[in-house]
Amino acid sequence: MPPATGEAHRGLMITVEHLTKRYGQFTAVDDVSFVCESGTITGFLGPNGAGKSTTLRMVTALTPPTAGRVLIDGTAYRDLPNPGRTVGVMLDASAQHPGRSGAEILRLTATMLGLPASCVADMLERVGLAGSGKRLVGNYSLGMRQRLGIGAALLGDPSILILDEPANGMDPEGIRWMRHLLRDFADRGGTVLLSSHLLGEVQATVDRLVVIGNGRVVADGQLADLLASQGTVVRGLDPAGLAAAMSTAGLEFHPLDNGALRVQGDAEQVGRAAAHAQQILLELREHDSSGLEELFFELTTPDSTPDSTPEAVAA
Amino acid sequence: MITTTAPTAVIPAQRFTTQIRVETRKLIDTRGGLAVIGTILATCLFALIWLASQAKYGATYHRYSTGAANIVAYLIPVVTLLAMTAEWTQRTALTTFTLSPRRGRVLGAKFIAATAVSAAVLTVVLVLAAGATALGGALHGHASWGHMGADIRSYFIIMFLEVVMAAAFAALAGQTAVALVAYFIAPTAWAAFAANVLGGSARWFDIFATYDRLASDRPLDHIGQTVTSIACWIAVPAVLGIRRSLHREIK
Repeated sequence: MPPATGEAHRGLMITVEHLTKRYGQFTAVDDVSFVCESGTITGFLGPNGAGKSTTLRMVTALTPPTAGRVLIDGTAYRDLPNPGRTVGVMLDASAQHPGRSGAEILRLTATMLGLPASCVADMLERVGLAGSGKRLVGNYSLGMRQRLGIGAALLGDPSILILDEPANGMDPEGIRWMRHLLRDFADRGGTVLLSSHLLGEVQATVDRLVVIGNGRVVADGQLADLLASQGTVVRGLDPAGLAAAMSTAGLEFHPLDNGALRVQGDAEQVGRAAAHAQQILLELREHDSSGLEELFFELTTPDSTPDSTPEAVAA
Repeated sequence: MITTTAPTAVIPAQRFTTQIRVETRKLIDTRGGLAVIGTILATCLFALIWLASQAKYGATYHRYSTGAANIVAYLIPVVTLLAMTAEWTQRTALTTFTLSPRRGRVLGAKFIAATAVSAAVLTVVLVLAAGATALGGALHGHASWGHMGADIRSYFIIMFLEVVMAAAFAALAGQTAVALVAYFIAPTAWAAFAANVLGGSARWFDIFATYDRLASDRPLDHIGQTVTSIACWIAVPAVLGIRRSLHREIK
């Protein structure tokens, strides 16, 4: 899918500051802060019920926060002159009236945005729904609704996109299409914040990650940095001797199932430590096996049991 | 590096008239919305044809239009109930309020749209009533048009009061089914309760008597009863409903 326009976006930031949402005793979102910068795709990642949707609803002024605030280019969302012209939002593709056609939904949006009705046909074309514009949304598949929702979000030519689980229900072709679309959007200076619980999808799409678990940010950084911190896998003839060598060198490690060690350090550090203790190595490589997935589980597995299932409350 | 090409300031603010236009369109761009309006018009048309066919009633605009306007008065609040609640029930509120985070303006636009569509329906029905009167006159000899101005004025006043009350109930209920039940059951249930328990004091809370008074030639009679009944049935639900709509979490 070629980019529809080559124009640069206004470089706008999303700043989330100490956002907190409590429902009675239950804290759905707990002091969440992060920044989304222009030109980047930020993945907002977490298991179901971690507080992703609640956070995104607070960002878009649908849910009043208990504490904290969100600024879009220094302005509260509520105070944007015509929010859809600055921030394209899709929080739930299924939240559409089934009795309206796709074209009608875009037309209502275009009117709100102060755009001519002629932009509707172009957008249907752009999101691959040119032949389905007149069909009622009740007859759309979930993937088609996602495309329509993304189309509605893009309609006002915003500089920021906020999408909640946009890959849900999309086929592989649709996911690839969206990945290109978001990449192009960010490459032109756009700011993208997208949530997902699909690790693989996020890993291939985003530049930055904000990982949330039990309402708290548990990791925030460049995708490459977060993955790199996974360390090195090393296996030797004498596992105990190798472990002792790593301890001596001051490197942290975890034993793996097959007698290998996962060491917090790069290959050179590990190799030197092993050589110093005259350990014979059978294997030395970067730890890469589904890196993000491991990170994800590591970061989001609750060490303290949450007092209720959050999604039931927050969703 | 990205250069800033346009400052935020060039984006014009959303216009209230645009919001009214969009909310009006939303009332008539689904089969559900059209079905409500179509049902009202069809029922009135049927009633008027029947009236015009009956020689014994005489072809008077007052009789014909009263019959049709009563049907409108009974059914037209549904338009408002749907206008104010459909978005919560269909969850389209998620889109609507991200595009227009100033909820008060959205509620205002919905109220104006519901009033406009209701008034349009009533206008069509009154035109149909005039047509039926002319038809009846042609069939039975003589058409009479007395009290036409006063009648029309009172129909519109009652319609407007009902739209206001329906909007208040809808905002408070926040969900279509609950709003419909509350709007149609509550006054009847109350009337039964009031007649049996409050006796003579019940008239202080009789909103339908208030409608009739306000639509009559002497709208200021029993002003105390008018004020108390409006406070109970319109003002209190409206205040609570608007408060709820402005602050509730949208999911």
